[in-house]
This record gives sequence, C-alpha cells and structure tokens, in this order.
Amino acid sequence: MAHPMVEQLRFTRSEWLRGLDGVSEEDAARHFGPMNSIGWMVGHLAWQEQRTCLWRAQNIVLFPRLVDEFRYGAPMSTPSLAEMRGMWEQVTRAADPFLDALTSEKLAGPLLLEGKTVGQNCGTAIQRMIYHYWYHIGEIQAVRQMIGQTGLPDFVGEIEAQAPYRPG
Amino acid sequence: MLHPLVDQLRFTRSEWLRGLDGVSEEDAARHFGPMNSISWIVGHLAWQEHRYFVERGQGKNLFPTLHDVYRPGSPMTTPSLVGMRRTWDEVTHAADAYLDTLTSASLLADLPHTPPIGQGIGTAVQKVIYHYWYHIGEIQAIRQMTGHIGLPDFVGEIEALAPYRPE
Repeated sequence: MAHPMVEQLRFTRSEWLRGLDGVSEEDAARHFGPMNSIGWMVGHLAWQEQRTCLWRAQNIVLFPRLVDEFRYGAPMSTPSLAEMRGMWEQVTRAADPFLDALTSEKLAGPLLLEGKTVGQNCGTAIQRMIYHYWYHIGEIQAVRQMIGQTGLPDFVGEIEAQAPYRPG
Repeated sequence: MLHPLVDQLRFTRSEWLRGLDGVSEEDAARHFGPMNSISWIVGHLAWQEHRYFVERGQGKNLFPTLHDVYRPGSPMTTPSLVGMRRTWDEVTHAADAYLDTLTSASLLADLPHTPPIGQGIGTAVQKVIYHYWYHIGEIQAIRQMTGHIGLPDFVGEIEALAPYRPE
C-alpha cells in the first residue's frame, strides 16, 4: 500500500485532471492580462514532477524542454495543451515507482539537489508539490470562469471516499 | 507538540494571509465576470473553519450568519474585507483550541454531523488545507487581473516553517 502522503498526491493529481476536463486547446491557449495560459500551467506542473521525482530523486530527465520552458520565472509561452498533457502523463507514470517505494523513513530523508543536501526532505518536497497543484487548480478555475465556462466542477472533491486521512 | 497535520494547516493559513497582503477594500470588492470577490472568498474560508472546527468540532455557533452567506452555492454578495478578516481571525482563534488537542488517534474519529456522514476529522483537516490552497490560487488570479504586480510566489517557505514530520 502506498504511503498516505503518496495517496494524497495521487488524489491531488486526480483533482488536477478533473479540473482540466472540458478545457479545449483554444481555452488552454488564452492569456488574461499577465497570466500564464492553462497549457503552460500543465507544463509547469509536469516540470515540477520531473524535477522532484525524476531528476533530483533518480537523476532522470525525460523532457529537457520542461526544464527550459516551464520552470518558475520562465518567459511566457503558449504550448499545446495536448502536448503538455502527454508530457505530464509520461512524467507522472515514470514517477510512480519511486513514489510507491516511499516510507515515512525515506520521506524524512533528504532530497538531494545535484548530489548535495539543500535542507529539504523528500516529504516536504512532495507536500510542496501537492499544494502547488492545488494553487494552480484554483488559478485554472479562475481562468475558466473568465473564459465564460459554466457548470464548472466543485472543489475539493470526494476526498472522503478517495483519500481519507491515514496516519503516516 | 502539535500534530504534523495541524502544522500543515497553520502553514497554509500563513500562506493564505501572505496572499492577501496588499489587497485593498476596493480590490477585494471586485467581481470579474461570475467570480466571487476576494472579500467573499475570505468569508467562505471562515465559514469552513467555523463549520468544521467550531460548530461540528466543539458544538458552538459563534457566527450564525456565516452558513447563510458564505457556504458553497450561496447568492453572490460583496462583504467588507476588513469585516471578513476580523471574522476569520476570530473563527481561527476559536478553532485552535480544538485543533491543538488533535492526535493521530483522534484524527481517525468521525467529525460529528447529524446525520452521520462518515467524514473523519483528519480528512476534514486535509480538505480545509486543500480548499485554502485552491482559493489562494484563485485570489492570485484575481490580483493579476486587477493589475497587481510583484505578487508573492507560491508555495512559500515550507522547508523552514512546516517541514514534513512523520507522525
């Protein structure tokens, strides 16, 4: 059974996808003022999953493009939603074996950056990623409202059924 | 020492406040299209903390109007940001007396509700945390549309303020 922290990440990922359901390529390319597009945000979260769970944890980089274009502070761009969804899916699938092996002890251990400790343990890095997802879920629903979409999903969804609290 | 999940809620609340720093009454009253105002969103999070940790957790009802005006799906209103901030401060202060007592064992118990709905206390805390983060993102979107620049980055200093601790 996956660690409770990993269950929370998986639930968060499912909510992320639920928040993207019904977003078209056209919608995902819209910029409101200085805001990033939904398509860019999907790439941004793929960047973070790759950075945390693949590069730092296992020295794996599946998509160098994510590093250049979707890190914090990268210049604004307007990527294809389908392409970013594809990268996100491949990155998260590649991250899962690492996540499935996590224990409380491993989560309390350091997550190295280029072989060095930087004062961040693995559990904190995952917690950061979970909150970052939720931040962007909210931002994306704001963009969808400004596009004029109606009947949007409610958040937070069915955590009681899908990811109830377990001590970890 | 507080339970790690309560640490995470406290960190999240501090990030919530950081995201509101610099928001004026005028900013907080703006509605973009169908969107709620920032001030209403503050009342909405006060509603959830009150409902879970004051009403259901402690059997008290300090602010009866919160449920009428700030629950999900209630009609759009535009309250005062100062008024909502004050309410949120009082609600979270009242909630803390309850949250400070929580343990891994008590987090597994049901949060009382009539009729019972099978929601554990820990799950409720988790839900509140994620709900805050959702609205932090929404509020930063509104602030960008309002024309604010130099907005804070999220997530902030979790490594220093609320690092992961095993239970």
